[in-house]
Amino acid sequence: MVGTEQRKTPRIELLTSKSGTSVPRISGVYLHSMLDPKKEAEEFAQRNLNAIKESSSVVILGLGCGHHILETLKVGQRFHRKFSLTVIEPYTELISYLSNDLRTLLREDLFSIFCPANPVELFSNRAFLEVLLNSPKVIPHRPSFDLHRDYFNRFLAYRIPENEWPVFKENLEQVFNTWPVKTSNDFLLKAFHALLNEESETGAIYE
Amino acid sequence: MSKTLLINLKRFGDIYASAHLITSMQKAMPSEQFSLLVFDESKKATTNLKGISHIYSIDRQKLLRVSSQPIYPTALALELFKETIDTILSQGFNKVINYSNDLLSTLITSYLKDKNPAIQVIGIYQDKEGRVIPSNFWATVFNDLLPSIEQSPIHFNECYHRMVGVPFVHDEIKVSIKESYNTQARNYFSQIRSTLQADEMTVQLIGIQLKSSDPKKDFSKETVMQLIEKILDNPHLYPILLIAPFDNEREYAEYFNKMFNQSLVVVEADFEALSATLTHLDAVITPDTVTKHLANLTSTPVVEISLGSAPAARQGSIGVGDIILTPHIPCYPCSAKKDCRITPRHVCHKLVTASDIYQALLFRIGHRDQFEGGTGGSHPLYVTYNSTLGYHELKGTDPKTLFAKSFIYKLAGITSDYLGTLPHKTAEDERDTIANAMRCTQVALKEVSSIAITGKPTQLFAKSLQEIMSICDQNSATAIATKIARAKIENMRSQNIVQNAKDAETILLELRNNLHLLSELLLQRTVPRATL
Repeated sequence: MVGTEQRKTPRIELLTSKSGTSVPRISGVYLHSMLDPKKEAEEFAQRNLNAIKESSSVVILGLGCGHHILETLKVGQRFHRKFSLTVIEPYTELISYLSNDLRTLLREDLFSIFCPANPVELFSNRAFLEVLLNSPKVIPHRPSFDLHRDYFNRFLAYRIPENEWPVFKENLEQVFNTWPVKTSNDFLLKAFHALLNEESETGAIYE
Repeated sequence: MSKTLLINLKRFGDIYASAHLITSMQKAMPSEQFSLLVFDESKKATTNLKGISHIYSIDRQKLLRVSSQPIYPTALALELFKETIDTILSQGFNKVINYSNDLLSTLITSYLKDKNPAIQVIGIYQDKEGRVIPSNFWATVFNDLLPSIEQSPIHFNECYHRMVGVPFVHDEIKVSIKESYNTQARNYFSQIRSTLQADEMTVQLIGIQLKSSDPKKDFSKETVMQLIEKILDNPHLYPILLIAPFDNEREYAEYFNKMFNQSLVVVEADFEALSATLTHLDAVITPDTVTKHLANLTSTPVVEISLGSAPAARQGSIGVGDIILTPHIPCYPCSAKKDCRITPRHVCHKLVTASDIYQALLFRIGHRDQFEGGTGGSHPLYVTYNSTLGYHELKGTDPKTLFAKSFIYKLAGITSDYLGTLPHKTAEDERDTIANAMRCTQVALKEVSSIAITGKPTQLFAKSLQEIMSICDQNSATAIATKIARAKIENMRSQNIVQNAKDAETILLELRNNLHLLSELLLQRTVPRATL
């Protein structure tokens, strides 16, 4: 679980569904079905079957009590030898409502939860970036998404500041064109520049 | 145990081509451990290389994706790249071979060497000043000569072996072949052979690689069609169409199959399956470099159609007895980067005709005693083996290229007396170029001595140096000497004019000496003028 900044959480009510499993209610929103959350979770996994089949990495927006997480994990592991499941959830407190089964799976790193306060925190987190590098499919858990629409939309719309890359590339260009090099790392920066510019395709270098 | 890293950031064909060097190194240094650094996208070509202890890879596509998508922090791609290279650094390699010799591989080599000066680099790297440091004369040949000479006098394979200092290993299967594929290919082809075999007559199976990775290298549809017809007309031969597992190639094969009423055999094979397939064919006709390299590694006879950008003398097939058909056209080999400027476009594809290929095939598999070349405008080169020098030769190479080769050998201190002679007119042109280079060198030497004393540059020095450099662009053996000098001059880094003059003097003296060697060689290798 990752999250450095504490968020102010409204009161979470923990209710029991007709089938006997827990359902949290936040600000009047039920995060799972009050009839049968397990069945609803199965339907969730079925509805997103194509996404789960296509990618061995899935990011789910919203934790709830984790019923849908458990089902997604089950389905994902059927299709992929190594299945990565990541959850983004603003309310850290919800973790304490996870079932024992899910807590065990969390301890065993079979899925991970990120509770960042804002997108910058999340997109500077190397562990989350590693998840993104595997081109995950993003699936919203609808009740959680509706509850935190602004929060999740900010993640989905996240972009680094516009001038960051041009400045970085300009600096890189400067290192690339400068001899002598000051440190060994300058060789690496030059190599990185060559890689980005695909100059390695040109064959011999000093014709 | 000594650990060697071979950096090869090229494509599939080049990865396979490196198997020759790897095999030779394994034979010469059996206790050494060999690892490879490749691009992730070329990694699948490494799966059937023999005796590699570890494959490291740079996931270029991922790094490019990270650096182009605005959700990732700017430093992430760099961080990931550094982690990959630092993992390699931490393995404690004793030797690094800069095999692909491109900018990226050279800078990675330079980083590794700078971080750990105990590493022995083979090939080139750059020092902190930016000087290019070659490991030996052959590294200079590889970096400064071969890429800039259109009709390269030395094959890459020979240059690699000489650069590393190991003898070439002949006649060995140099890739590992999966037993399941091997059995499948053997059974399948035995079945075809026994179906076709009639009256005790043996039928030879001839692979035709339909497409290459570069459309510039492909032979035309008409040529393929006529070639299939000719092979089918011969009761001793049967064509096997080879394709890679891609939709466009399937469609292409289907086109031919339709034309022959679905009677053709098409083998769709990835690299591993292709290796197994080739070992059970009697010969392969290919415009594709990967197929050619794999055929060489599995000792399968080859008729190579060398179109486009890979010059035969530098990158051609090296199986003894193989035939390389090149278009007889001044623009061959063409630049991989430029569009065809000849009208009609890609006329070279038509110059190597089906008839030429078929005749070459018959000669290659021993059905003909002679093949003197194409009627349609192709030029055949025959791969032979020179036992004295241990490397392959191309019979049919023009005398000028052979002369350039013997000059490189002379510079390397290798005696070669088989490389033929130069026609009188060509020799005269070369003599004039040497004389011009010598004159400029003498002037430059005189001027540089005075600069070393006065510390003031002179216009005459600049002019004569410029004239020497202009010879580098000429297609002559003299250009080899001036290119070596140019590489050294470009490496001068001193801020002190007197020191620079002294360094230049040393380079010019070496150039003068090399020009003398060239003159001597020219005298030995010129056809005497006919006396009337």
